[in-house]
Amino acid sequence: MIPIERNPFTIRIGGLGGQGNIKMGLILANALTTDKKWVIQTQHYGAQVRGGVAYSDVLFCDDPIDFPIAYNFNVLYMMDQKPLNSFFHLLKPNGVLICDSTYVKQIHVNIRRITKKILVYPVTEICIEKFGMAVLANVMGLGILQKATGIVNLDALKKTINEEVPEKFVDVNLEALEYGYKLCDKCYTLKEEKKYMPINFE
Amino acid sequence: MYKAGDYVLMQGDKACALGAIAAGCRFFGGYPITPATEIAETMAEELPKVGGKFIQMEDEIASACSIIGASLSGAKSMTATSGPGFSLMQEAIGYASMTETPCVFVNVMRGGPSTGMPTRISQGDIMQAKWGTHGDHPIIALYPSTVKETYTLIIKAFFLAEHFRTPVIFLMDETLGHMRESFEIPEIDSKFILPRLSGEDLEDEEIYHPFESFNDTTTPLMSMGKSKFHVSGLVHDETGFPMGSSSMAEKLLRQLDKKIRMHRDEITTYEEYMTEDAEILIVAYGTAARAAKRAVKLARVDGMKIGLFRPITIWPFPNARLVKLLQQVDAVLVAELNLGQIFQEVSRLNKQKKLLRLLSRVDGSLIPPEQMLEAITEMRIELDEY
Repeated sequence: MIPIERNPFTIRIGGLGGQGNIKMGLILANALTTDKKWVIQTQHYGAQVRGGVAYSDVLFCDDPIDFPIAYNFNVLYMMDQKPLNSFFHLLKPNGVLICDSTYVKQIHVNIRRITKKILVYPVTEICIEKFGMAVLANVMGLGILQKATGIVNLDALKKTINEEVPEKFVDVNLEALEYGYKLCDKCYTLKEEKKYMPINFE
Repeated sequence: MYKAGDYVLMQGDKACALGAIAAGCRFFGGYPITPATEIAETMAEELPKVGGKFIQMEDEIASACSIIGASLSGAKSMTATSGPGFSLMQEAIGYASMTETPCVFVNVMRGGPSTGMPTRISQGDIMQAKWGTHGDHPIIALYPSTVKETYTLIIKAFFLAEHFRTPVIFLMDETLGHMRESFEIPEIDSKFILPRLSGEDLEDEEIYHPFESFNDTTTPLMSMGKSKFHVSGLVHDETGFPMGSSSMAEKLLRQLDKKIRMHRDEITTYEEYMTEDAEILIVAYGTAARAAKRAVKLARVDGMKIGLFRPITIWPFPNARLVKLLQQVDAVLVAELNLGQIFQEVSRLNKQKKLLRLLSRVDGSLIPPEQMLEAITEMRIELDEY
């Protein structure tokens, strides 16, 4: 039997246009690149306007990734009710679901059949309360995502934020990242998928 | 700017633009169109830093003409567009072909025909790249499948354009253009960067005949201001002036065709994956080949002997190698995101009537590896009964 590359870990960040979910995917992908992973980042590309569903997918693996599109996900980070309703069935069994409860008001009962690893924080509310800016919600989300899954190095995230974010907002973004990191108290390890089951032809 | 050895995350379109700059491209005339806009954006930002010029033209026709002018006056030049824009550029491609002007046309393919699906993937312009412009003309078309390959292959596109003095079509697709992928910036082989002739190589200004051909190779182009010559899209002699004689026309057209046809083996490149003992061969290219590679791996785990043949040079098509493989395998599956444009090409070569199937998809999504695996498994069962 020939060795076959592992399936990549997959993350989907979904929200409404304007919430910064694509920027969040970009920062995450860049940070993973700093960690020398094989990374692919794709995003929903369409006539998106503020208020329409938008998402950004990040795939990463230690091995080369052949196929750039993912059809189900290890982690879903949902910033709004609409994308959660459309994407929850794409979550892998026992995957991690993180929701911003400022906008996600109801978590469908079927989701609990897929996973028990559900984290809910009022991220945007905290951002407005602590920093007076809702735009930091995505970076705070990255902090939560880092703590909850440990997929990416915190220093790599900080380094990427330094490069990606306009200079005068770097400090407040880093604070938000730290805050998100401290906010989350759960830590799950993502499990690698089971080996592909062959149907021996010979 | 990035340097060789950097491990970066880059969008396909950006890699195309930065690769072109590394290849020595110093002029870009273009008009924004999804999904090729990011190429123009990157060029607008990066070209002035290296002393190049970026112009946003009024439309695609002007863009294509501007890069021909720029190339003839000494700058390596490129334009980037997508389906509808590519249709507008066709006449200029013919002009570049007839006047033997080196230039690169990037076509980031999207769903067609007409405005079609601007944000969805397709591989529908394969035949248009070859036969889009009127008249018999030679063409070189390249098609990468990863972001890293986009960066290296565009350098080769410029090399081929300069070496054979022909327009080169650089095909990409929407997914490849918009996808960000990590890769290590490779070292560039300096032999792929051809400078233009300087005036010193010329003994006497009068004897430079830019359209003269020796042993099916063309005369390299002179840099700006070093020599004067006439350029015309009419049938011309070696000096470039139009000629009415029919024997001249025959000679010119055959010579244009020969300069590519006789060097097919130098030009064509392809990737083979596990073809040594393959019984079923998948022919796929571009982003579709990535799914095919995964399907080959999955099929091998199942104990099926599958191989992948991926043409990197789409035109001229790597016939010679594929004919050899067709003798060796029992069946061929062509997987592509159009209604069978390369399938036709393969079936033309299938002289032994091997089992040949097409897996096509035109809904603007990629073919998943699982769907390919399913098609292969069906073929394998069919093969036992064939």
